Amino acid sequence: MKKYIIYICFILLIVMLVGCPGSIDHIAWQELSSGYIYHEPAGQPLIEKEYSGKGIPGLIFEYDFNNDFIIAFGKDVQLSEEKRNELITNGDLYDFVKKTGYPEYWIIVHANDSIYGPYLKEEYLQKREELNLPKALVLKEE
Amino acid sequence: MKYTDLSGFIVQAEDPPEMQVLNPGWLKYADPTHLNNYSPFDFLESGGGGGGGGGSTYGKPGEGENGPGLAGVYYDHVSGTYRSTAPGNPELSRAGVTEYFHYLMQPQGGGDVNILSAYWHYKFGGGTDYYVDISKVDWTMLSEKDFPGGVGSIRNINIFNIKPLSTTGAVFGDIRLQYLGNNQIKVAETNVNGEPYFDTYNYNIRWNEVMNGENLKRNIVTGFGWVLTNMPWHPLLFNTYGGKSYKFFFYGTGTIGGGQ
Repeated sequence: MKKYIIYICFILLIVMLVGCPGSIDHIAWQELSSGYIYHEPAGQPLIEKEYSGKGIPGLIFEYDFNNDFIIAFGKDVQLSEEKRNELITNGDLYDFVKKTGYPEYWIIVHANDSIYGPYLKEEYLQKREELNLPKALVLKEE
Repeated sequence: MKYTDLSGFIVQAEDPPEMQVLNPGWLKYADPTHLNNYSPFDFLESGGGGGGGGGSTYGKPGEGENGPGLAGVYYDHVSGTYRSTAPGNPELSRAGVTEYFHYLMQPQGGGDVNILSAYWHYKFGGGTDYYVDISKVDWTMLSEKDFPGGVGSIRNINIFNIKPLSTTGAVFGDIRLQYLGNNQIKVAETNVNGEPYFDTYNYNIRWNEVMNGENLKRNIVTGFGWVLTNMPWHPLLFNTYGGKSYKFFFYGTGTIGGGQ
């Protein structure tokens, strides 16, 4: 019996230390530039600016950044609140949007504190040229 | 007369108030719906010995005046007995009823959350929502300086980065808070997309990323957490295998530390 209790305590301790959702949030959290962060609240990958409530709508699948710009590739899909909640709770929203969402490209320019998008690929490439984005900033989806 | 309700707790057993239905604290882990066929009172059942016997001389949960049950137990107005909501609705033994009253008299944790209760709800909550009263959560690791935007500003804060072994850090991690002034905070009502904000307790491994070798660290940690939380407590305790993801909803206001 004592052995059994020790076994349970040991398992719970490991879960507490390593496996809790809080630690996953920690890994999926990155500070970008000019107060923007990438994070995954409730499993939804988002880019948003701290304190302002401003951000890129839709889910983010890829991004790159430097001190002046953030570029991102995401997808979005129209869903009823019920369906969205169901997908989030089951952890399926990410895969669902990845498969069925329409692609969107975004550019954040810190100099004028603006978010450009959503763009189709061609529009995005054109806007890149226009804004003189450095070549070092790349998305795999380009 | 044996089981008259001197304490008044029978009222809860019959018809829990709405908030308790949504959030009866740890009572809801008892899975009153028996979707998981789990109730802490299953072992207290009289086992049918001399009990109600055949015929339907008792009412079922939700029938007539009977409530739906709380923590797997309901009061049957037809026979005047406490019965289990499990199939067959066996009458509780005298010891069972005593234990039930003890159970009801415990602090019911309405709105409380800790690492263990969150884990327990994952195992036995059947995916039902978990309502958290944030006034009962420790926020002293935060201070006014964490809200440079001042009163009314909203900020996503990763508590795990600040204090990993706190309830807020280990259970919620990344949480969206609004500063109300006077060291008071609340959880934001909407996310950046304007959708109602909630947190989730789940372990979603992105299998296609695993196949492509993307986000390895994230998916390894998620997978490790998934295995640990889903494993049974003992190979023979089948109802402790697995778990169900659920949503955290928040209400109330919390107090942060007073430091600058």
